[in-house]
Amino acid sequence: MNKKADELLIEQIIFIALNIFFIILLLLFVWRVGTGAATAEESYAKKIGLAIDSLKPGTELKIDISELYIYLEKNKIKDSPIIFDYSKNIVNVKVSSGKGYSFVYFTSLNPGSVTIDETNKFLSIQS
Amino acid sequence: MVKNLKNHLAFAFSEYPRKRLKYKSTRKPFWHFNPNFSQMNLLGPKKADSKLLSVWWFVVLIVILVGIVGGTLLFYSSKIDMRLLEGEILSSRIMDCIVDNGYISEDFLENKLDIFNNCGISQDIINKSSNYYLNIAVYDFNSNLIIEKSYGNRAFVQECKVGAAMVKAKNFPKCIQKSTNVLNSEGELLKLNITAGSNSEYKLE
Repeated sequence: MNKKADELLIEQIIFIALNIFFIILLLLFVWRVGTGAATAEESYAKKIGLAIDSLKPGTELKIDISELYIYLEKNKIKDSPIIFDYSKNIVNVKVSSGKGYSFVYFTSLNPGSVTIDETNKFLSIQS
Repeated sequence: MVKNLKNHLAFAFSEYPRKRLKYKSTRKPFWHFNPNFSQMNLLGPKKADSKLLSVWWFVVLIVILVGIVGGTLLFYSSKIDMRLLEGEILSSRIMDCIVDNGYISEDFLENKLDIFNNCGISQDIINKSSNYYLNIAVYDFNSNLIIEKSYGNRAFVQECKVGAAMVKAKNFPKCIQKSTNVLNSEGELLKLNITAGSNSEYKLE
């Protein structure tokens, strides 16, 4: 076979392969950022934090968190999507492999006043 | 002159020396700066030569990469601003706590009311986190101060004014001021001012 043509062909193949690899990397990055898990974590953490702060004494509030379970399934995470740190007044929402998003609420909440109904996918807050 | 210079540079960075030029080695890596650029061919590269994997192509890739990554991160990293909403909630909560049916709590006027315990607000978060500010002031009908209580970060008094004066004040707190007329137990008209500020967006960062 012609050596020159052979070299050119290999170079073309390497060039195309590198380009495809580069485009795939970019698409993966955009897809990963754009899946919305980080946005969902932030918005749910803030929603829950503000809901706790605005609750009047004796009120019970239920929040639909089924969207968070969709992200959990998608990201193959088996932990609870919402974790409360009652001593530090922090609500942490985590539906991806990262640290999740934490939000601080200023209400003194008694431990156990927030429950998660995993079958109906509801978060129940009692103030 | 400019064209000559361009050709000169193009030749200097070309990845493969041309056959018609007498080089010691026939093939060099694409990043190699061609030492024989003085022997440039002003007619440009031969058609059979390939310049696919040139330094310039990688520069183009990096520019595209930086553009797309930067744009994507910028788009998705915008925060949801809750500062005004938090200030609103905090002031409403205090208002509901110390005012009942238009009558202000006598315990508050006599400085006996523990705001944190009675209103269910965490003292640690308000006073120690330095992300909140709360000011409660009660005036009589002649605007004489009866009682004033402040909690949290006192620097917010000035910072809120700066933040409100500027068109784009990203890291400044936002404050809400509420004012209402209330009655004391003797039926006298008083004025209650509540200022609540929050900068909670940056507390965990």
